[in-house]
Amino acid sequence: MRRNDLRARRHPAYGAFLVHRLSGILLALFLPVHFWALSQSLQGAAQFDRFLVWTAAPAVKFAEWGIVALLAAHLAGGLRLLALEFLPWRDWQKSLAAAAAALALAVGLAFALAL
Amino acid sequence: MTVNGVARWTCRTHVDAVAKGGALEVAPLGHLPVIRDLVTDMAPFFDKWARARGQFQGARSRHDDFARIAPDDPQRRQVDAGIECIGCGVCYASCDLVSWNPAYLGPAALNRAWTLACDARDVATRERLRAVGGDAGCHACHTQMGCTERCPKKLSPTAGIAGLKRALARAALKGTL
Amino acid sequence: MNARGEALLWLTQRMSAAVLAFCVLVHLVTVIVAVQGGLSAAEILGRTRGNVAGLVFYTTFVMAAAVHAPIGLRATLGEWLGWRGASRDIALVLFAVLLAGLGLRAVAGVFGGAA
Repeated sequence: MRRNDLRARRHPAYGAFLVHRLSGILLALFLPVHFWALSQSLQGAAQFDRFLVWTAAPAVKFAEWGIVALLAAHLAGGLRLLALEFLPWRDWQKSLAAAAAALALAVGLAFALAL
Repeated sequence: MTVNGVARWTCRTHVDAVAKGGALEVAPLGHLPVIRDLVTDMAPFFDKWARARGQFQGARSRHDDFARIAPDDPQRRQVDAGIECIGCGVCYASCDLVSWNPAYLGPAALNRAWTLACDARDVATRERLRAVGGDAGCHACHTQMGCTERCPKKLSPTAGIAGLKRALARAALKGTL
Repeated sequence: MNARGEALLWLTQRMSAAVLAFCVLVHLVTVIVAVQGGLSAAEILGRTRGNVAGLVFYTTFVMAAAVHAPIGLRATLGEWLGWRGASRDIALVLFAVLLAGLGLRAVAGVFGGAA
C-alpha cells in the first residue's frame, strides 16, 4: 500500500492541521509545568519573587514568547475549525487557514513587543 | 493513480501539465492494496462505502405517489453538492487519516452517507448515523482537507463530514442514536 | 467507543474549546498588560489575592483546559502512536485529574487569601 509523502501534503489546510496538532501537544506538555510554577506562589511572596527573578533570563523570556505564540496559533486554528464545522459552507472557508495564521502572528507580535 | 506524489485522474491529465524538467513519476493510487504495477484493489474502498451504509433505503413502492422535493430545498442543495461522486478514490488516497487509522471509513464513504442523510426520501438515517459514528467514523476527520483539495469533481467531503458531526451530536443529545 | 460516546466527546471538545477561546483571549490580554515593565510577586499577588472574579474566571479556565487537553491528545495518541483502547482512555482520565489538581492548586495560590 502506497502512503503519502510531503508532496501530497503541501496545501494550506494541511499546514493548519499540523500547526494546530503540534501546538496542542506542546501546550498540553507545558500546562502542568505552568500550573506548578504558579503554585510556587503558595509558598509565599518571597519564594514567588525568587521564581520570578528566574523568569527574567533571556532564555526564559524566549520560551514565554514561544508559549504565547503556540497558544495564539492553537486558538486561531481552533477558531478556524469551529467555523468549518459549524458555519454554512462557502468556498472562502479554505482561506480561513490564512486568516488563522494572520491572527496568530498578530498576537505573537504583540507579546514580543510587550516583552 | 499517483502522479508526482499527488493523487489524480491520469485519464484527464495532460503530461504537459505535470511533467517537471521532462520527467514524471507515476505510482499506484495510495492507501489501497497493490495487485501489480499500477493496479490497485478497490475492494477495501467500496467495503467501507457499504460499512458507512452508503446505500439508499426508501419506504415508497411503485404504487405510491412520487416524493415531492423542491429543487431549492436547503437539504436537497446539500445532497446536490455531494451527489456527483464517481467513487474514483482520489480523496481516499489523499487523506492521511486513512493511513493513520486503518478502519477509518474515508471521505468518499462519508460524503455519500451525508448525501443520503440529507435525502428526505431515505429512511435509514438512524442506522446510518450509528454506522458513521464511532472510532473509525466521521470524528476521525481532522479537517486536513486533502479530499476537498484534490477531488476532480470539486466536491467537498469536508463539508459533508462536518454535517455528519453536527447530526451525530444532535442525535446523541436527543437520545435518538 | 460507539457512535454516541464519540459524538458526546466531540461535542464536549467543541464546547470546552468555545469556553477556552474566550478565556484565552482574556488571559492573553491580561498577560500582555501585566508583563509591561517586568514581573514581581508583590505586583501580581497584590492584584490577584482575594480577587473573587479572578478566582471564578481562572477556575473555569483550568477546568475547561483539563477537559479539552486530554480529549485533544486522544486522537493524536491513537493516530501517531497507535495507542487505542481502554488503557489510553484511563491514562487520559489520569492526565485530566492531574491538570485539574495542579491547576486548582495554582488558582488557590494566586487568588486565595482574604481580600
